[in-house]
Amino acid sequence: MNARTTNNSSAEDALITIENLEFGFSRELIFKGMSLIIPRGKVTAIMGPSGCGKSTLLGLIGGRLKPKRGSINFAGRRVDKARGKNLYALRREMGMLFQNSALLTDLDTFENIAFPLREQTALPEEIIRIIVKMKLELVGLRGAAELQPAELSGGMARRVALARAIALDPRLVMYDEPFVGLDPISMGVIVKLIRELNDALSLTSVVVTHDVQEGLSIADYVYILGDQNVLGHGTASEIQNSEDPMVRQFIQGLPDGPVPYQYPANPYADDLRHD
Amino acid sequence: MVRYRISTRLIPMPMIYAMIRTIGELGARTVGMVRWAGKGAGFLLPSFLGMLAVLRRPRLIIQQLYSVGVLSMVIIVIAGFFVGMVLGLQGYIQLSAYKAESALGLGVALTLSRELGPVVTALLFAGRAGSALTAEIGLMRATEQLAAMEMMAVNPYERVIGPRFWAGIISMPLLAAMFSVVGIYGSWLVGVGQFGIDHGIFWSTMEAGVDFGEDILNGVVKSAIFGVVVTGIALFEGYYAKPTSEGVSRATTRTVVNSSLCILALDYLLTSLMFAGPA
Ligand SMILES: Nc1ncnc2c1ncn2[C@@H]1O[C@H](COP(=O)(O)OP(=O)(O)OP(=O)(O)O)[C@@H](O)[C@H]1O
Ligand SMILES: [Mg+2]
Repeated sequence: MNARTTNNSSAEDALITIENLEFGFSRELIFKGMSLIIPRGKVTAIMGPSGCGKSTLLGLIGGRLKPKRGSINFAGRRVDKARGKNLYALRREMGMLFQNSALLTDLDTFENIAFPLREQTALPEEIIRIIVKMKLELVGLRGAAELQPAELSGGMARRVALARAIALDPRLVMYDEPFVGLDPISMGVIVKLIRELNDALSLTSVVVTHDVQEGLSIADYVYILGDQNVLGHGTASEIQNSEDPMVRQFIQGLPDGPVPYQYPANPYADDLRHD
Repeated sequence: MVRYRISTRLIPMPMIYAMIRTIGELGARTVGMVRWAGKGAGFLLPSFLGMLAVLRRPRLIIQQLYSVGVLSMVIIVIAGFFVGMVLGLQGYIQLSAYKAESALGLGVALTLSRELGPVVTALLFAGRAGSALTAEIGLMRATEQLAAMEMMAVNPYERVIGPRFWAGIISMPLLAAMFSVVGIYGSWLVGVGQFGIDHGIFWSTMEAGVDFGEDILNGVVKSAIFGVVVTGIALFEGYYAKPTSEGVSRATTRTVVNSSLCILALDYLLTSLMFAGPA
């Protein structure tokens, strides 16, 4: 169960290959010698406890953060080495759904989805209008084109952000916590959308979540992060039946086990005495 | 060993500790300042490139001219009018003591175009537009809009910073001119309307005494420089605001305080360069 040694998908099937990744915001590392492969055309879930670096990993894949060591390969090109124009060219092939949607608040729904088209292409207004309507139809919000971001509910905003993420027909869509704070129906809608978009548009999807149930139900392949590295990986059923104690602890939601519940700290008794 | 003993006897230990602490604090502050300067340079260069790039898209600049400049007009006009009336009143009281009230128009026009127009406009601009810019960009950072732009392969320096920088630099001299003109009418209302200075004399002394290059142009240059400083500080503070509500609120305060202080200090510098240099 180590990403470095074996992986089900062969290298040709990989859209993203991360090798020996080392990263930290400060001297303290978040990833240390981590390797993983995102298979092409599949939905891959990245799961792990809060603060283990899931959002950070998406930042690294998108080239917003630079690793201290190791390589990040996207469709045969090094994201970690790309800068300026080359980096922007890579990002044009990626779509990203941020945790809080990140819609541009000074534009309405229609203009938010048109934004990447207007910025990146010289398409005539007529074509942009058609593309935006098509993307809105895909997420079921064609009727909401005129609404301002502040007028959308959380679930609607996330769908608009999703429509925006796929506006330029990317090869990869990254979802950061797409299920957080949604009611069961909106959640179902998003789950269905991620799957359908992935298959219909032959995308590759990376879904970051700490929701074990949804993650396992939606994913073809699962990585569980923790402890600065990959704790375990495999297909959803492999993960579900895993014997690995750390993986079991996480998917069963046991409060304490090999992965400690406590953030590293001084001994409790010492802390109480001194403060 | 011996030397050490002598020195501790001459200088008491607490004093040595205090000295070490002071040196340490000085060092920390220097490091902080160097880091701040580095951040500033790292912000200015891409901002400048963004400003050049956005020239191809004047529509973005015009949009910002509206929210940065046009929306600041009301406060500038009202403030200019009152400042002008006060100048008219005080000027008349002082000048009439020497029977020199005919110079009121000239005095007010020089005061406004050289100093009060650029300075008060910049201070008001920092409070009205600067704070709004910081809050807007800080919130864009906090709500990941800037990160989202980057992921859509859009350069925020070009799309967000560039147009706002232009808008600030263009608006400021126009607003300062507006302030001065309205201020002159304010003083006219008091001087001519209330105290009965001759209408023709009020304007003709002004026309004769105000020099275009020396007074008007210097005032315009001044307010353009203030525009760069205030807008630059506002955008910088917003861009590097901590992505929390508290972070944005602090950044907004810093924008108003820092740019106000910069304006006043810079004004002294610019005035001595422009008006006190070798004649
Ligand atoms: N900009 C930053 N500067 C410094 N530290 C950061 C920054 N962003 C995140 N961190 C730290 O990096 C670690 C990983 O953060 P990250 O946001 O990637 O976690 P996550 O797995 O996405 O958590 P969650 O499930 O809560 O979203 C955290 O310990 C966090 O404190
Ligand atoms: Mg996260």
